[in-house]
Amino acid sequence: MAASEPANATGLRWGRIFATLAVLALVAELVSQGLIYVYAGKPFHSLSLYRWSAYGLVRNNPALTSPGFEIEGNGFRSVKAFTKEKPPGTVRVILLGGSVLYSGLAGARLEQYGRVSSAETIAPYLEAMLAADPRFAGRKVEVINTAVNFNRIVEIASAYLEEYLYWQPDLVVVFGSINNFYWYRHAGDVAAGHTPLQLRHPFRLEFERQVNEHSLAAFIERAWRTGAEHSAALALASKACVALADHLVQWAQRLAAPVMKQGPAEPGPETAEEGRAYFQFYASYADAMIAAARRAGQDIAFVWEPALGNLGGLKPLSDGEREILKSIYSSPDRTAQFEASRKAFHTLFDTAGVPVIDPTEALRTTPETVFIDYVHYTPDGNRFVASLIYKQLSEGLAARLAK
Amino acid sequence: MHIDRIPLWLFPLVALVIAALWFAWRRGWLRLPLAERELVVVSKLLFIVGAIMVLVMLRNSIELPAGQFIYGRF
Repeated sequence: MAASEPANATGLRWGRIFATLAVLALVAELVSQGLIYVYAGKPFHSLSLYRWSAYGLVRNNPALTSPGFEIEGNGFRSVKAFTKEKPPGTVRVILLGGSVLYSGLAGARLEQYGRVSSAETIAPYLEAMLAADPRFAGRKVEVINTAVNFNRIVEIASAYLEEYLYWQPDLVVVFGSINNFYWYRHAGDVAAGHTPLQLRHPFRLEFERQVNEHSLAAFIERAWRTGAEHSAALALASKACVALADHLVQWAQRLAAPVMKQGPAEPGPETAEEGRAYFQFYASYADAMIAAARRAGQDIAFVWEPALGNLGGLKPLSDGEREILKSIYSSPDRTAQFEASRKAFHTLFDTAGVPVIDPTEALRTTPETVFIDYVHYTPDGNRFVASLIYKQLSEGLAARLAK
Repeated sequence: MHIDRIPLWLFPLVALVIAALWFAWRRGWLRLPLAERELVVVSKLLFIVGAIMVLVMLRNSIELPAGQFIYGRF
């Protein structure tokens, strides 16, 4: 023990204690910066996946330090940058949607594909196809991927009406159907407000807690998260704390399950009338988007997103897809409800004279691996969907430009 | 591997480094400019800061279990 610093009445040398804490913080920061550089191949900026948006709740965080998820300055998942002002002579296509378009990943997935990079989403493939088309020769083609994970039609409509309408797209292609129709609805769910479109978005819960709540816990969390935007050590510690807390809660729930009182028996599937009422929620947002697009002179189309577990044996499966299917819970009731939604989806847009791109039929003759998990695509799957969009919409786009 | 998932090997590695440092200190191979009581104070301060953060996150996890809404995590 060095005796150069006088101890106070308690015998503690507080200068040394704080100096030790400072040195530990510095070492932790240097190690964390190094770790992040090793993983991401670039210096640390932020580990936050999202940032708040006034319209559509959140946008992807352009500062995200990640090897696979490259986010440009406007929050688009893209390896190249875009400007709101459309350059002269440009054909601009804007893709709106959720994780299928973003190329996110679920827990059970085909690990051999790793993470689908920002250069392998549907947008760059579609852009390459349009750019190679002689009908668009002499024009610059831009296909912008505005997807945010877990976007429902609520967030998509809001983002389009408030923001992307003003980006002057020639064509708007709306994805994200899966986040409205994948989760099984029981009898009484619509009346109780327990459907995906009626429940508050999980990001909204985070928003309320982090922005509107003024408790001590919320204050500590805000301070911690602010620090994590400036310090690699705090960012890593924050991620570790979230993961640890989530696991602790899951373990506790699993341990408590045998002694917990069983809930009431699950009600049966929703009635046809409830199904129609639920679809009206979706249709009202879609109607608003179609009306706005027409008013602004923009073409619009909608994409149906199939789910591997609800294809009912329609697609010839690859070995990988067969493996994933084992981890997906499915039932004839779920498949029937999903299929009823698909039919309603077609009827809505056929009646409105809006093109629908639905890969379901094309999947019948596609034995290759398209799905990387229960709903997202491999890079080849993204190319496959891009080619369907290209086949169905390029002619209309070319005709529009020829006017 | 992607950084938004904490690599599992990181936890045993950190535990191993801490255990090695503690072992080296106990055996006298590592000399610290702190007395044992001061080291305890440093450890307590670190523990309190860490515990507060885990408690805050635990509150969030209980309020908003991850499950299928894992995308809700920032």
